[in-house]
Amino acid sequence: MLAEELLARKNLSKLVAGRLSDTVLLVRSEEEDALLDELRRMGHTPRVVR
Amino acid sequence: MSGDEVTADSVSESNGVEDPSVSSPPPQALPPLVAYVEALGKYPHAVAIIIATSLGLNDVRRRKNGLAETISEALAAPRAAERLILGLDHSSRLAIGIFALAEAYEWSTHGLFLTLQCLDVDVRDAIVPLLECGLIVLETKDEAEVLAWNPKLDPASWPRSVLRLFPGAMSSARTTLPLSEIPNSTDTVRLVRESDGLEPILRLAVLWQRVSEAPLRQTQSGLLYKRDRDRIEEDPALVGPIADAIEPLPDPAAFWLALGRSVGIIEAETGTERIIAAPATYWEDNAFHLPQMVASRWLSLTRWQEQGGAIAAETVGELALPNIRAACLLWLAKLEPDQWCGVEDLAAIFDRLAPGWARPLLDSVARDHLGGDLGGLEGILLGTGYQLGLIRLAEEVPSTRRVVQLSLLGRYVVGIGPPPPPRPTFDHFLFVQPNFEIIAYRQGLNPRMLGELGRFARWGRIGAALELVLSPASVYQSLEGGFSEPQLLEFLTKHSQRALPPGVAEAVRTWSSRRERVTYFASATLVEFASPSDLEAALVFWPTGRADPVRIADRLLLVEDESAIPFTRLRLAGSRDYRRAPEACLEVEADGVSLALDLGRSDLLVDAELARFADESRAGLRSDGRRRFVVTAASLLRGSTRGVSAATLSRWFPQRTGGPLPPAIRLLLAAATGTAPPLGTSRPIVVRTASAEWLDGLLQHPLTRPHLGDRLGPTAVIVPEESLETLRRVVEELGLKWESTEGPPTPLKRPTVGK
Repeated sequence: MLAEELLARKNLSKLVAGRLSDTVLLVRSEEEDALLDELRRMGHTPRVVR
Repeated sequence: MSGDEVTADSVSESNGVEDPSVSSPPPQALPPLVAYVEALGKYPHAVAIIIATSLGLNDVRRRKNGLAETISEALAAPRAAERLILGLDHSSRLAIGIFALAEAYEWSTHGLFLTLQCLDVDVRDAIVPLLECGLIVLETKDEAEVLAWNPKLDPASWPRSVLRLFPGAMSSARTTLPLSEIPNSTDTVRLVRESDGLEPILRLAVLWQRVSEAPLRQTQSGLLYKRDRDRIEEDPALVGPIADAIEPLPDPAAFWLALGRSVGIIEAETGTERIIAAPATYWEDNAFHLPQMVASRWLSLTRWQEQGGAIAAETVGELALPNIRAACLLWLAKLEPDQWCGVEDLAAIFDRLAPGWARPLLDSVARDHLGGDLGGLEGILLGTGYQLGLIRLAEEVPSTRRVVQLSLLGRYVVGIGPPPPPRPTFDHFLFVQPNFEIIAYRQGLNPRMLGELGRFARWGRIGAALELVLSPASVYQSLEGGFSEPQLLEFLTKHSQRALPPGVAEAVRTWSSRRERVTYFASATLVEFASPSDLEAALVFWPTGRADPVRIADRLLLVEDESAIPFTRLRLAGSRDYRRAPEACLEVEADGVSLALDLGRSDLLVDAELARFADESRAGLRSDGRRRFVVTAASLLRGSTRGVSAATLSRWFPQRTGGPLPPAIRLLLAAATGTAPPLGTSRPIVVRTASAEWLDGLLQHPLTRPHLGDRLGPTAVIVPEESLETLRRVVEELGLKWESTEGPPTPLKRPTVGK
């Protein structure tokens, strides 16, 4: 459900390289900042594991 | 002095024009040992030989190269620097002790001269022995000046030069006090004042938090962008008035920025032009020593001073006042704990020893300042010195003069006293209100607690009491910094004077749980198994005790820590680093819409990429075993709803197929977007000739050329219908024969050549 919500966001779906499963999206590392910014703009508070 | 200060500089974000009212950036600092060897390497050979000989290196006279490294290695030998320092006289030990006091590896030559003069030390006696044994080296901007090096030490001949300390000598150098006595008073004093020393820690905590929220951007030359500079300068928590202030701090934003950079609480980000906050662990690692670190780094701040704040040092010269700070502390260190010294008395000492010490710049004419200037001295003692908790102030009885002495922290920093006892604290210093505001009383705080508070609550007003606010963003920031929700609630519960409002605890839990909804793995390893049963089998022998793998599909595992993968029990068929650029693994077939996947070069992403705008062929695998995908109008329509545009495909095809977007797919895209011009139909009239040569003639001749259209081949050309009769007439006038085939429309047969 959440993945669908993210993919429905045009600015975010552009950054998604692929969907590996219902709950896992794959992005390229160079898109990291843009992805996290967009998630935060959407009101999410992503946990970042480095 | 140190060169790694954040400047008070700014640059207009819109046009990049520097603001002339602020100073310019620091030069890129080299590691101390590298800078030392580099400076020594510029010495004339004869001077380097003098140094080497003084160190007992007698076999180096014939060596042309590598002397600097040899000297450096000799000084780095166990206890070599310590033995040299013990053999120095008092004035040289005092000079080298100033480097240790400020924990600085370099000091302006003019600045050190002024400091030594103020301490009643003969500059030549102090510096020459240090230069001759290599414990310090001279570095000038002009190499010719080094070549003309001589021990006469005329400061005027070395403008803008610095003296560099051999880094290995830092731990052996000790603070040495001046020999002369300082006027002191043991009379009764009253109204003794001493700051809690928390002000710099508090402001640095605010700075750390603000930079954590949004890094500061600098231009390539190190100037802060105006927007970031304004953000800092207008932040009331950072530059608001200090509650317990005797003398104001000018240009506080520049001061806290410079101090923050010096103590490493904010730092330049490697590979970018940004200034970022240190990791949250900085507080755990450094909180205990932070007051002492702040004091030391204050002594070496050269681009900010207590009168006038930050100024453009490079454009106007070197500031004089920063060099007085160390002299003040060393003179006050001569006092016994029960003795005091008048501020005017200290100014009188400086007036006598270094007339013109209060001049604004080191190389400016001092005539106007021969009478001394109490303002700068009061700024040092009662402004920064007081706020940093180094100076204690009192009123002398009965004269009512202001007298000062070193505090316990001040005596510790100078090295004449033990570490000050920890601040008395009490556990319940917080008021947490239902509206998420927090009031903290300074009396219960210490640097470590300040750091912890700032990790999860946003600093508001800084005064006698401190105001903070809890918010989703601040809690998220704390979780990202490694401060967990239980830690946060425990801190609040432990230190609140009343029970934590239930709404606050609930909100913190809610905000924290939201973070668990989306997890971003900055790097991970995906393990793809041949079949779901293989994956199940691997999980049976997967080692426990580390982060468990995450099953993300029936054949895929996501592993955070690659070292946890039991490679010895798996057969590795291939690996791919997904940080690398995608590989061309698809072949476009002749029809332009069919794509064949090379399994040997493909990756997990390509399936997902293809699924957005193509369908796997139902015809099964190709004869060579490759999977086939077909692009159709319907699949492109699906792609367009998922953000796959013509531009996206134009970038994707070269990456994945090694060739441009095929025309057949361009056609489909144009059709889907309605941008394709309509196709036209017509029945052309074709003239055929017996040979290409005749048609060449018709196309070249000025009478026939205007009536012919596009050439279709070697012997065929289109004739516009409206030109047909004219062409026929012209051809016949030229003496050529014209034959027409039968039936409408009348096509023309080959003309034949007449006489």
